[in-house]
Amino acid sequence: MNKVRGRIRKMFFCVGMGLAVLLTGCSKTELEERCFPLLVVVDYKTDSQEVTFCAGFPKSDNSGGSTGQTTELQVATVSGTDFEESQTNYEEDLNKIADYNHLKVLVLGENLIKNLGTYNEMLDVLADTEEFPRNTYVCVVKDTEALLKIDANLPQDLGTYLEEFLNNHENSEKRILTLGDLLDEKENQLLTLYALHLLPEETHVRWDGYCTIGTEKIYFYKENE
Amino acid sequence: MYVENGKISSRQTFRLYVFDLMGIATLLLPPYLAKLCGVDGVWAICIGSFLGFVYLFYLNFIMKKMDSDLMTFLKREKGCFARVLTETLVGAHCIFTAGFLVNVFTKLMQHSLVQEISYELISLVLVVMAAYAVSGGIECRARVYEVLFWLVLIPYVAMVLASIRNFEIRYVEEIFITGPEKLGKGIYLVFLLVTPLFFSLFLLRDKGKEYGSMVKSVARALGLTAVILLGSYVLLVGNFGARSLATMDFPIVTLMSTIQFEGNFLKRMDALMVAVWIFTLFALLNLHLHYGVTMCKEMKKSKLISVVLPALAVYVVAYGFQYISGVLNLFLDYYAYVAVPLMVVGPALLLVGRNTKTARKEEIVNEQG
Repeated sequence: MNKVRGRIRKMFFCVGMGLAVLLTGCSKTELEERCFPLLVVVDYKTDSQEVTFCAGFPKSDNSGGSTGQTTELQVATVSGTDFEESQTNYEEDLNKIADYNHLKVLVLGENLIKNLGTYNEMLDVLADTEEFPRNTYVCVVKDTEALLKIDANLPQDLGTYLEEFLNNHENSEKRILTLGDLLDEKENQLLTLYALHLLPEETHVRWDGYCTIGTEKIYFYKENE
Repeated sequence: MYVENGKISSRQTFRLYVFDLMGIATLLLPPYLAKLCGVDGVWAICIGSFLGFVYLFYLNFIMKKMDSDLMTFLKREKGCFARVLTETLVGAHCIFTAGFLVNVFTKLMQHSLVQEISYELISLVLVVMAAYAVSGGIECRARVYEVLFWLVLIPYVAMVLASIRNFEIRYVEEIFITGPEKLGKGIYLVFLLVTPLFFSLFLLRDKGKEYGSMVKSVARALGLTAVILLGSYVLLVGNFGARSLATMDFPIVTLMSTIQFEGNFLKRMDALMVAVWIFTLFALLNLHLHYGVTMCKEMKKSKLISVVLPALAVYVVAYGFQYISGVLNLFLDYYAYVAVPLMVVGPALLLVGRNTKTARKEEIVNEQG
């Protein structure tokens, strides 16, 4: 009788372990079928009233190794009637599935944060999907097209460059705003959030102050104010 | 039950109860509490935990009156109807709760680790593993959890403390503003999550001293859980704000994902930290499945059937929670209005309806003694 019980237990264990094997790995999608944006740039076109979306990827690895992304993943800025549509349109143009788990920086255009309705819609989508990590850095630029142009002049990709740039500006007094801060404050409505305002130049970006974010009226503060 | 072979120590009981109580409380309680009480949820935790202590000492008093564990008392002093009714109620409660836990566990796995794997497969694997663990004996699991205790607790406390860096004092300033009705609901919610203490009624009371140390262990486990829960709640509110916290599914897991260490190492600590709830939820799932199986065994003597049937029932219940709308709300209503009152009043009612013949026999024996 004990032998039968022992066999039944072993059988249970084997079936359990067999099923558990099916759970290995993080996802059914293979690594080769994914791409990992490090940067997302979102803006709002006031003339056409459309939201634009663009992502930045690691630069291609010329040695032929498997670490870099290929240049075919670089897709031009895509627009849509709202954030969700523009993101979907952009992802359709990619030949791989976008996995935002490695996202480092979210750049928002000045026009987008001035348009509070569109900005809040974007946050609603990001809160629902939870695709973007909450500790993604957030900064604001006036001209997103100008920012994307400097990518070609950088030795590394724009996402990594901006992350390092923001890390160098962070200290105990100036904590860099993250996506989590935006999502929380949309609900809490208690704090005034200040995002770093960047100025793209030919080969680099320059920090020119702060701007309020998530408020009806946007205020700008120069570095020393 | 826990000490049926006499090999589970009071230390193991303490660690098992910490796992049983802290997992579900830290995972599910904060958003509900934030919605009801906001920052005042800290008072709800303090008062709810205090009521937990009162409940534990009430159960201790009942056990002394019973002079044995609940199952022995039922066999010794109750008629067939009362015994079967109690076993059926406890068994059904355990199976429904285990089904709910499988549902929460599966959602957590999908949320944090395996988004694209189907609900049915994950819940099936969990139920099979839980059934295997239960058939292996609770002493075996007690030893495993004894070893895992510090491995789980130290990283958890370290990670929660690391989140102090992002603590926003403005988020905790809105205190003493919750009305008595909402605060009362919050207190009841906290108390609801410490009701697994009910199962301390099944601890054997064959040796007075040993039983005393068991109760002390459970009380210590409740105390530690209350401290962990209180600390976690304060830090969650301080990091996310009460209103934002109220909208989250698993805020404590989200908190883990936002903590970053200097030097770019330990990049996916959040995935590693999910292990805390994998172990603690599995412990609570096992506790309920164990007592579901025990009640089934009392009615059906075949061990195979008494393990397979409850496991199957748990799987069906977990499936229902996921796909039948309204079942979750029904379960929460059942827990709040039926299960918890029964777990409080039931043990005392069993004492009131004591078999008079047996009581008389006892008196005669006492008189002769």
